[in-house]
Amino acid sequence: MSCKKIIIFALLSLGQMVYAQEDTLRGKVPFSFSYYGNTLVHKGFKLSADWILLEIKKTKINKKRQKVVHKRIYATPNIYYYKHVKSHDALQLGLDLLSRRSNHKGWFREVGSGYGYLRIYNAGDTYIVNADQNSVVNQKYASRGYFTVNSSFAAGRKIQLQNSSYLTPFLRLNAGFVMNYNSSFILNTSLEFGVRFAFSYNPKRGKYLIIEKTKDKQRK
Amino acid sequence: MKKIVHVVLLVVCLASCKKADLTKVDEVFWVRNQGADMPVHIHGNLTNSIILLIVHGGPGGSGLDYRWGKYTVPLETKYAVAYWDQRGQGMSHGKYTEVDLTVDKMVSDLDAVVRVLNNKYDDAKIIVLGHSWGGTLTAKYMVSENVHSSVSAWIESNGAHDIPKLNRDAINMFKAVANNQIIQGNNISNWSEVLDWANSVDTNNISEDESFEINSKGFEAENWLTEDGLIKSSESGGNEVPYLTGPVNPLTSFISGGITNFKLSPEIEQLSLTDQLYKVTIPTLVLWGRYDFVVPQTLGYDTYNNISSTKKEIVIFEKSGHSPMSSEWEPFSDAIISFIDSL
Repeated sequence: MSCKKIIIFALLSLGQMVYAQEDTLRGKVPFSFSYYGNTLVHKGFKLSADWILLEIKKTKINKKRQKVVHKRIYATPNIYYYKHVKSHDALQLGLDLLSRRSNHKGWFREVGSGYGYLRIYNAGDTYIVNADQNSVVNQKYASRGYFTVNSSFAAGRKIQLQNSSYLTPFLRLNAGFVMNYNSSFILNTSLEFGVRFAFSYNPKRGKYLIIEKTKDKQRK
Repeated sequence: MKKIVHVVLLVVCLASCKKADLTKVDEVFWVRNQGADMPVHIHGNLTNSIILLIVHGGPGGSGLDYRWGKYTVPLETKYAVAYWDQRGQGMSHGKYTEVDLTVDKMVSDLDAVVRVLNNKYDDAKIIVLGHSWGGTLTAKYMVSENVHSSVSAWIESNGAHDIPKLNRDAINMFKAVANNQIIQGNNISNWSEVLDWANSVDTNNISEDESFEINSKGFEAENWLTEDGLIKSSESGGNEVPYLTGPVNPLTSFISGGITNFKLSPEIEQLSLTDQLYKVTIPTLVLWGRYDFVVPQTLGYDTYNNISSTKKEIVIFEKSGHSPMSSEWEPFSDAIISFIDSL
């Protein structure tokens, strides 16, 4: 069976397992693991954790139905690595602030921005000519560090597995700048495709601020 | 069982002791100099201990841009070819201010690359080939009186070593070729327009904007001459570098190169090295396309006539413009091979 078929089968199977959209893991810190493609094609991975700061729950009650929309603000520490073959490897530690809006069906969209520290490791040896101008020093895996600013847009859907766990496949587009790169800056773009998950053994978040707003149109 | 383990270990040992194939070198290393990390890609045959160092054009190009095209196939068969990304271009990165983005710093970078190549490849002969802006940079290095002893020869291809002269000569060339093409009935409306524009430029006082215009109109004019068969179109094939998945990120290279070009332009526009070319004493090969409007062939003769080298050659490619390596790749690589073999 091809890899594509396995993924499709797995996603369909997950779909069958969905039976509730009630968030039973509100108190857990979800983790994310994603394929990280720098400029789409240079392969890598990204790990992150969503630390919820604020939740706004909006309930709209119509004559026919009740609609619940969640807006959540997260602080998301993350780490990513990618390999640009025959050029460099890169490792970034970052912190993003994400604003996520999700509906009662589990679909969400999210915008975010953040800062990071990017380390670029040269592929192969790096040589420096000594002051005597005749000899050279060889540094293996030489690197340089840069600060980055980033903005992102993501979308995905939460799939509840059991009462105690869920998976959220998502797609995220990042665009930002690597600062003080050469004599100015450089544009940095990437695409992520991954999954956010919270299982019963994920660490607990504890209490956080929740604001509930209700719009009842029936009263009119 | 013990015997089998010994045999396996012996095979593994022999496999790991296998000598690298010097006829097909494919490696990358970096040179760090004054705040910049610059990649150098080496491809080809190192058995002769001859390295052809390509100094790319722009400013804003990249070393591996020059690996495209058929001319590198015969060159890499005979020699090792080093494709270097200059400071602030291609995949070079680093941290420095605008003050460190000067032609002198780039000359220092070129010198560092030469010294590293010499050190890394056990005193190999290095031949420096500069094209277009690379010709400017290599000319500046060659007149610096600090040329490393391992540099055996200089090849200047369509190099812009004197921008004020380039601008004047390009305007004169536009006029001459435009008149000729109008008489021959080729692209009359375009050439008439160019002729009017060229006649309106005061060659004693060419501004920076007009200089950029000369550059863009030069490429445009080459397209018309290609349509009319005076310039040969480039042939596909040869060494191809993957565009998106290869070592050069096109987006990074485009932005870095654009910024570097913008910041260097004011200095380059004033650069005139003709009166210093007499300092060049090493063997030199001058390669030019006859219909190069971007850097007219008069600059090729300028190099040829002013250098002090006792061994010097000039080759004009009759069916080429600014990039004879693309238009006439075979005579171009033949000229380089026969020159290097004669050293």
